[in-house]
Amino acid sequence: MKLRQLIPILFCISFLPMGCEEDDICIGEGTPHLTVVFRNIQNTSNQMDTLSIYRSADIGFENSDTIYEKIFTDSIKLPMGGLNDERVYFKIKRRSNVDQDILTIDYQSKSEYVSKACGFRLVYENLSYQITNYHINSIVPSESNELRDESITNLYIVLDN
Amino acid sequence: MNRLRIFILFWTISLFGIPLDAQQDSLHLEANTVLTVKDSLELSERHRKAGIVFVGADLYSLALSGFSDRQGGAAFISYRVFNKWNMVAEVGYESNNYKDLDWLVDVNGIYFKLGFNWFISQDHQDNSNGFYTGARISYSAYQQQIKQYPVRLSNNQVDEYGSLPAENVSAYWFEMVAGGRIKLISNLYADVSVRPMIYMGSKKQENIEPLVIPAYGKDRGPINFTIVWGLSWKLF
Repeated sequence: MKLRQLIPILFCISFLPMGCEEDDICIGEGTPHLTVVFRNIQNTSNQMDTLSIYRSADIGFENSDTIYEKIFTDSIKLPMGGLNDERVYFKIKRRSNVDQDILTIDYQSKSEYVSKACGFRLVYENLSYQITNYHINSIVPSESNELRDESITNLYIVLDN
Repeated sequence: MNRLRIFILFWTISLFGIPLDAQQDSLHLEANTVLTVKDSLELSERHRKAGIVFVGADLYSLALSGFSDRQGGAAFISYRVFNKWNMVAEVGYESNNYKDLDWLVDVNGIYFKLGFNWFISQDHQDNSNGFYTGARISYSAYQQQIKQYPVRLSNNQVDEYGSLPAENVSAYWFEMVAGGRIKLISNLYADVSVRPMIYMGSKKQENIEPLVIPAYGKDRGPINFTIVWGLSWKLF
């Protein structure tokens, strides 16, 4: 009687793990974007504006990607370059101005393992920024020169009037 | 009145008859008990005898080689140590791969399993037949090549791919065993078991959790599951 009771139990227990599901969802743990917030000229509050943003690996923007096209916002998230790159250029166009500012970002990237679902991600170290000043007054980087978390602001851009 | 006397007579005889039957039953029972005790003494002597050795092969892993990425085979040896306790050692080779979630991983290597089977029930005619439960500690030493890994953006899209050179790694896990062994012909036995496996740890490449391990299979969380369909030969 004991055996008869035990065998179905063992059999059922053995099949329990077959119900396990793969954990294959990656949420928010991938390569972070650079979070940029635009400020007014007094640097007292965020300032919204109509912006178009283009990204390129070369200063001539011969092979550029359009990141944003005429969006009205006070913050943007910029995708950085890959593992083999060390510099990326962003063209920032305010409204319909002919002169467009160029934000140059130098960095060192490295890959790090996250999980099976996410695979690897890139993190960026030794970030440094340069900006032209057609319609941008200045830039204020965050205290950390690492980019690991896009939920915090990495760079403030102070706009001209 | 006559009817009453006849009734009392039969009733009295009946009353005497019950203990007579009971006495007869107890005599039978005693005889059976003596035989059973004698049989069980012989059986328990046989049960206690160590030294029955089985060697076998896992047909399930061989069968899988025909129609899955899992290629390889395994052999095992079982030795009765005492009474219902059997020591079991298993060895095998397996190559496998993982092609999911934008990963491309190849592994190949050997594995060892060491543990015991404890027979829950045994056939009185042939005590090698029976149901058993048991456990194994398993270890696999294998070569892993990550041919492709994804580098994902925060929105889950794959941004680019990377690869890593082949590296020797290892993993170990615990197996619970529930199975049965039954005689087919002569000294040939079928040995079937189901095994939940609990991943315990590994030597990792670049801190990457193993996605596929020879004999453990593809990663489905901390618990995996396998079946052994074995054919074994009773040596002595």
